[in-house]
Amino acid sequence: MTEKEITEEIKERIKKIKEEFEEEISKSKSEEDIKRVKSKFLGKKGLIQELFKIIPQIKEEEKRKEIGKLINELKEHIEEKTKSVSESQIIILKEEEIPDITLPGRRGFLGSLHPITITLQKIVLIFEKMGFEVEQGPEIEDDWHNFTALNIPPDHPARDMQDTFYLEDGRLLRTHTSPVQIRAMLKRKGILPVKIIAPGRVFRRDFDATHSPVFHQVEGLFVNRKVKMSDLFGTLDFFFKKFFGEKTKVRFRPSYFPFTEPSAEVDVSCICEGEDKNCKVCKGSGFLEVAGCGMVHPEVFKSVGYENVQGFAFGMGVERLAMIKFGIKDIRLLFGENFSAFKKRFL
Amino acid sequence: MKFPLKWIADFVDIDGVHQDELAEKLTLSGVEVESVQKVGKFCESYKVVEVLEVKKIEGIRLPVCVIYDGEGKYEVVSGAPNVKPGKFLWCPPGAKVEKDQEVVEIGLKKIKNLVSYGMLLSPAELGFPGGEEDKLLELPDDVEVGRKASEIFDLPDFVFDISVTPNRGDLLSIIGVAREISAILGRNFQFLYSLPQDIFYDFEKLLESFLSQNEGKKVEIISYVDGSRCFIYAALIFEGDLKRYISPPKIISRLYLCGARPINPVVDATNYVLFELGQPTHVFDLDKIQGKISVRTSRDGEKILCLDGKERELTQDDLVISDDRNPVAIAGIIGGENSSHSPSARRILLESAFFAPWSIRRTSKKLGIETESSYRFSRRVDPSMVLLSALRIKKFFEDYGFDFCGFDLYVDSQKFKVKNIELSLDFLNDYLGTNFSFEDVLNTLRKLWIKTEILSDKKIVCFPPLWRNDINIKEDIVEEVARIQGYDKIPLSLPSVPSFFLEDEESISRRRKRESIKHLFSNLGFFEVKTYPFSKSGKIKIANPMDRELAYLSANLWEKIYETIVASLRRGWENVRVFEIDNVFPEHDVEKELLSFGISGYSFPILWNLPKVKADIFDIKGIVEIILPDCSFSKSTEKYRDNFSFSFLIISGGKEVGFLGSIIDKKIGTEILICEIDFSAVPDMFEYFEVGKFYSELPILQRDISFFVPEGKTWDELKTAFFVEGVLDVFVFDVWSEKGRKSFSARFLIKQEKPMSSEEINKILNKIIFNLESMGAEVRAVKQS
Repeated sequence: MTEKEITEEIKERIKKIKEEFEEEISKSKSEEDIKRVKSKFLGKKGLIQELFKIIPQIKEEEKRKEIGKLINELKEHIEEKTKSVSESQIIILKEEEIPDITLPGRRGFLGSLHPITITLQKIVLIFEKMGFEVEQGPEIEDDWHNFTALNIPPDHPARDMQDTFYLEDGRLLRTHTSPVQIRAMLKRKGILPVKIIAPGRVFRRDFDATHSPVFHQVEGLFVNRKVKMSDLFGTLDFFFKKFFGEKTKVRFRPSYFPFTEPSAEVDVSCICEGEDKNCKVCKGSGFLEVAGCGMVHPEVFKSVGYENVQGFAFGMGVERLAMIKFGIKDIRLLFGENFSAFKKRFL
Repeated sequence: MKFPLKWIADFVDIDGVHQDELAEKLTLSGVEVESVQKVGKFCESYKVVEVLEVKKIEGIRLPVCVIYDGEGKYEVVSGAPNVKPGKFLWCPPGAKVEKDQEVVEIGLKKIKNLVSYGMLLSPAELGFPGGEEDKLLELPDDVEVGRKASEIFDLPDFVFDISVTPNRGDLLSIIGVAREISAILGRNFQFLYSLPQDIFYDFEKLLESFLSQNEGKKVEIISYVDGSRCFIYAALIFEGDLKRYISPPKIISRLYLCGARPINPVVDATNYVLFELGQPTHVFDLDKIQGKISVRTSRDGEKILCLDGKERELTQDDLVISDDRNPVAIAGIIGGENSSHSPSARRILLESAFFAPWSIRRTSKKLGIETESSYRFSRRVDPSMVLLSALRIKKFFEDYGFDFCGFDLYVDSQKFKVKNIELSLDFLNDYLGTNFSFEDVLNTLRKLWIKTEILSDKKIVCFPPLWRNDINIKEDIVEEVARIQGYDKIPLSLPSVPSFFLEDEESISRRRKRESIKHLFSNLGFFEVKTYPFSKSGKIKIANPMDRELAYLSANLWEKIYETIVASLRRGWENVRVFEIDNVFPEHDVEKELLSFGISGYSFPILWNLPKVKADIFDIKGIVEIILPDCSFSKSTEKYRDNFSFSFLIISGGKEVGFLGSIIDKKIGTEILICEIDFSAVPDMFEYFEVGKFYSELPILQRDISFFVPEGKTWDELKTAFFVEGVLDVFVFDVWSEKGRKSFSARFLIKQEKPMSSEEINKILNKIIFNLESMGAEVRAVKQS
């Protein structure tokens, strides 16, 4: 073998040892593994020492220096890498060992609160922050609380506005949450202010894409010595801006309810902002009717024995607000086997 | 209510006001406009023609009409049943017709040897909404041939559809809407002829004027009036022969535009006035009336065959118009067949009355009949129009060939006293939060025909006109001012005073609990549902259910949850998990809040990396253990046997609080697991912690123990073996059976207060082993886990 052939062979061996090391160190997953690799390459009888033993065979001074340098570089590389691997503790996996992240994750089933619950929570949260407290009343009511006390005597045409479910014993399923106004005032026996909201389930004999025989309302009532209609408008304007977003326009339109005078319907601006004459949500009007309200009728105060007070009341349909908020087209989707109202259904 | 805009223009000047602008102004002042529709777009091209001859041509199926349009003769085929010589409307070739919202151009049609020119028009083809489709529109003889339809019908026009609130019966007429528009636009209102204004405030004056106009014409035809239900009853008698068979075109067109159809000139005239002045009237054939008229309540069981062909049985709560023998009409609602008028009647009686709204409403509701007439009476007609309407119809009848022979009248003027309402400007502005001037207020009231008298500085008395029965208190006046001035003039303010928070702890806790349980279930993979609380059976019956099959209020919730799951399975879903928290009505006067939930399908989602395990009763039980940590279960023997494949009662706090069970229905095939719990038994989730129970500086020790027991031993019994001091908790992680015995593997946790020696640990272990063995267990392995 010539001098040149010997050096070439040594260089080849150095290269192979380096590859072997890289292979083994990458597979090392524990302290033990690293220890083993270290002794194999750097031990007294290790591969590096073997290499050093070959150096004297090279006669030519320059070649000997060159090879010596190469071996030293390899030795340092191995020392450094084993050190850093044993220090880092983290095992870095190779490409083929990394899992396919596009496969679905492992999880339990995911359910959802009902859109009405979510809507109610939001409504209650806003009003509670405005200083209203929550009141509730029974779903089976008597005629007095549901109608007469609210200035809707028997044979009043306003009874046609609400098709009522009557029970065989003469009582009825409440047609609105307004009887809670009456109950709340009676319960407080004149303590002012009365500042309540009453969320609840109500019942009317009606069934189509926008009417359900069972639906939910939130009633509001504020009674004090002096209350202005501007307080009512300010409160509802504030509420609907918080509920639908600050850009929402809130419009009040004269209307009629027997238990308020003056009375108003509340409209909020549609997302189409009135630009789309064919808008399916607002039918091109640019506004959506969302609530009824007004100043409490003096007859209502009379029926609960409150004197020298003024007040405002409002009532809003929760389904209506949920339908607008979640873009639900048919109220019937909210009841029964109703999963189509939800965004996603996991298998 | 529908009205054409041009009819409004008879009373108030609306020149230069765009229909959309008017619609918005009406809506914003409280008269909600639901739609505005243009009617008669193509009327300009239609012509009045005379059908000279109707003939059959060999080989052509339809009759062929020879028509004359004032210039030439044409042949047109028409299949309408009422085609005959006479005057009709013709759509010449090249003109357009709108049909089912599609525009069609009418041309020449070649049928065999005949060329059919254009077409003869039906009311629907002319563009009248709700007009007949299958017959031609017939015109009276006095209409000139060759005239345009647009001229004789005053078309095109805009038809407004408004929704009128129940307090505003006065808006159910053209004149009422016109008055409202005059107030909104600030333009003058003009009645058909000039009238002294004070008759709208003083019923006596109105009466005087009527009596003086008809002096000497009084006859005796009314024998009795029930004064508690009828306040005015006027009967006008006519004799003669009807000269025309078809009403003038203007009347025909206006009736169609209001949603009615022409019948004959006499009925048309009464309907025309009904729409125009809001006063329903009725015409009787006087020759069919036996004796005199009485306005009385019915006798129980009395029957009447009505004009719609149906017989109705009445009670003593129904007001009727009767002759000496039988009822001839249900007052204010519908006429009777026995007294019905026909165009050939020679002697007729025109009735114009004011019936108590409540009486009409009650009968109309009970019998389920709503007519244009009952709708108006039950919302109260304008008393000032009762007599004026009769006089207006009288004019029509006289024009049509009848002679007025006399009248009879019952009136209780006391019922129409004008109200006076005091109001101060300060109250108005305080109540609204506005700053309206005295002038603003007075002007607005004037526009609304509310008369005012100034009492002192900024104090007034208001006198609403007779038609405004809805204005009774000062707040009503405040609303009138606010709505005409515009609600947008009311500023926004916020009441800053908070409530006193009188809500009790229990109610707050219940609300919080409801929220947290709902969140828990949604995180456990359940969808919240809302079901209708109507069932086939129960304790509380609905008198008027929507569905007779579901006439009871639900006494439980689980049936609805079950139905929901079944419906979901039917739609192809494999995994269903639903829950609901709502009230049910198990007994009289009890509204009970229940939680019910159900599962069908698998325990885990169907995924590549999860086991496919069929859901069973333990999926349900696991959840019950979370929400009712201290509950136990006992086999349900009777209660749910009929509905469930098996079920267990849930006992908590010594009481039965619910149940869980499994339903395997042969038709459905899949097992459905259901649970129902009394929601008040569920503890508040905030009470679930016990500070320090699981805390120790030292690590928790875990040991596993495996043992055999004879078949039949339950875990509930065996568990007690682990109730040894130092043991924190115990879980079963493996159970299997072989040859009459059962193997359990359990893991238990030991909390070290101080470092424990192996002897101390063994002491605990031995105690457990001793306990187990005394229950007949054979311990086979103990391991450090």
